[in-house]
Amino acid sequence: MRSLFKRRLQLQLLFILLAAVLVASLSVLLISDAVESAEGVVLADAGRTLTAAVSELDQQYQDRVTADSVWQTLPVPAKDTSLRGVSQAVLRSYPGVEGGYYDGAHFLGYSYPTHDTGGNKTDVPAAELDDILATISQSRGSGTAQRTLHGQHDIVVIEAKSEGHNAFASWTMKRLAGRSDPGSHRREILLSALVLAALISIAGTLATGVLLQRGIVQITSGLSALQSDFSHRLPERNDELGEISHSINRMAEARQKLETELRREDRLRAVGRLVAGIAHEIRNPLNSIRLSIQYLERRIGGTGVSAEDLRPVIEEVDRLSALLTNLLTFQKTRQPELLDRPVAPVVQKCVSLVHPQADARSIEIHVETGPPGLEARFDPEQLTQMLMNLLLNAIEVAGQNGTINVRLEQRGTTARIEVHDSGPGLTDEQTENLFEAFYTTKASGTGLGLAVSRELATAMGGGLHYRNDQPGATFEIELPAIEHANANDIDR
Amino acid sequence: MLKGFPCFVLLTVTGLTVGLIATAPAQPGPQGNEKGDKKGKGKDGDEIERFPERLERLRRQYSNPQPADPERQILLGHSSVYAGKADQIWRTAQPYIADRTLAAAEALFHASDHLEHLKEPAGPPSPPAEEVSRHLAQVYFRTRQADYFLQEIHDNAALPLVTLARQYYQRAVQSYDRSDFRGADEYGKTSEELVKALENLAQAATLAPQAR
Repeated sequence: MRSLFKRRLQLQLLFILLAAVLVASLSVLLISDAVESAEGVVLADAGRTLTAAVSELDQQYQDRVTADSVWQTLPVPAKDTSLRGVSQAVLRSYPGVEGGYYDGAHFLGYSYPTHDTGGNKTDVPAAELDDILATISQSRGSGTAQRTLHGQHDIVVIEAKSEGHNAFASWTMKRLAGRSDPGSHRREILLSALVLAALISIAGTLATGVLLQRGIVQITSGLSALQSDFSHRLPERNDELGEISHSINRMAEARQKLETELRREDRLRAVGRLVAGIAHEIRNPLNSIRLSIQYLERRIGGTGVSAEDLRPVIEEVDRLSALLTNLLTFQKTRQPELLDRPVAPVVQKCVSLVHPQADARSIEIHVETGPPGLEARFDPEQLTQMLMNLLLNAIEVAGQNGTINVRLEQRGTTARIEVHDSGPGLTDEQTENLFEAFYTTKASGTGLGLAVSRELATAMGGGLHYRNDQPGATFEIELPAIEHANANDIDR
Repeated sequence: MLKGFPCFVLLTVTGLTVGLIATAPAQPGPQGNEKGDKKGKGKDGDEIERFPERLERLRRQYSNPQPADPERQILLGHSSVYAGKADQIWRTAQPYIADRTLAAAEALFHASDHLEHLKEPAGPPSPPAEEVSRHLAQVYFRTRQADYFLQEIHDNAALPLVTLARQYYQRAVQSYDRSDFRGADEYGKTSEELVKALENLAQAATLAPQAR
């Protein structure tokens, strides 16, 4: 549910879409209802008109018959003429209504005075003849009857009136424009246009939603990529989201420039610290050398110079040489030669190399080599250098009768080498500056060992981390592990 | 196909049929080409059978002294013309057409009579206003049929009858407005008789085969 609410834009689009569908459906229903309602009103009005007309026709017939004593003797054509005169006069007041009489055998006095031909139409409509007769027949039971015929092109309403079961009847008929008439056709076109517009609106909303969604996904994934790589650029677009992408790209460029600038300044600061460290480190051996040389100067005039007298000079020169070597390593780390190979032999070799120093201090080194055949991608020479550095540091801080635990294990896609010592551990301040160049807690240290080691680990695609496990301290070397399947292949 | 059929049988059947038709009571005049229902009879007897009697009575009335009223003279003139026509038609063996034409002449004579009633100081009593009002509504409805009947007659000689029918209706309305209900009633009846004459002429024209 929470994730659903996070996608508010999608919800809004969905809501708009549903609203559009609802509006379109309601519009169609309302229009259909209105059309049907209008049709109902027209039908009801036609029904009332026909009722009035047929009643008047009937009344005029009664008047006509009672006023003429010879009516019954008249031949049918004569009656037809007289009654047409009656129906002409009556129906002239009812536009669109046609009608007449039926004597049980003949249609009499049919007329349609408001017909387009000028009222000269005298033939009973053949198409509706059967329905007129049926309506007349129906009226003989109830006095009046009305019938509505829904044709393909029009609606016909017929009404008949009879005096009980008397054969004589009056009838009227009216045609109404049906659904196929031009007006109805226009309504259908408008209705279709409305439905089409609604569909276009829905499709447009969907398309906008999809495009917006894609744009957002592009920007989101682009921002994720930017977190690890400031050289990554979001794809250019020509819409509003494109402007956002463009702004993000400009921000990334600015950030990249700033990053470069910061690195340059950081390097300058490192160089400054380097110079200060070198000055400090070189001044001490130089003082020591100067004192030794002064001492030798005094001895030259006395009993002579022994080989022991020159040892401090040699040691200090060696120390300066080692310092310069580390500096060169830090300054210009060579590219690692990465190879897929087992990690355990390298660990074993390094441990065996430091065993003499550990034994001299009665320090026990426990080694766990982890899963057999654990392989990683690394430069063996650089890993040896890193591991030796960590082991020698551990021996120095572990103290007399201390312990060192070396453990090799695989965690996911990482091969991990942990070096834990039983020393006092590090303070917060020491932890913070641990991997800074020339930062050291040892009197004789150069402060470059851990800095160089971290550079090497990063160059191999891994890392070097410190974990403060009281008591003691733990350093972790991480290397990219080789997939187990590959390892099996190698085993085979 | 009829080669083997005896000719005397055909002649006998034809002769019997002609004889039956000729002796039919509803057909006193010579046989013609008329259309229509030949079975109908009115309550007052067969008008067609009484044609000669009706014509004779009408002619007797024409022989009375001519009225001084020029309007009556016009109506009686029209009546006389149609009576003459009816007589001619009767002689051409078209009894139904003759009957309808004579009915028109009679209606015109009755119209003239209603005008005469207006001149009589001790004429029929004045009918109630409501009755006259209803009657005038009916007359108005009848005058609306006049044009259709004229159209069916196909004879412009009948056109003055339409004009007169409307004029007398207008007079009836004016009399009613003046509260002269007797005048309104008589003028209304005059108008009604004129439309009836037109209707009879239209019926005659409808029955005549050449009229359509």
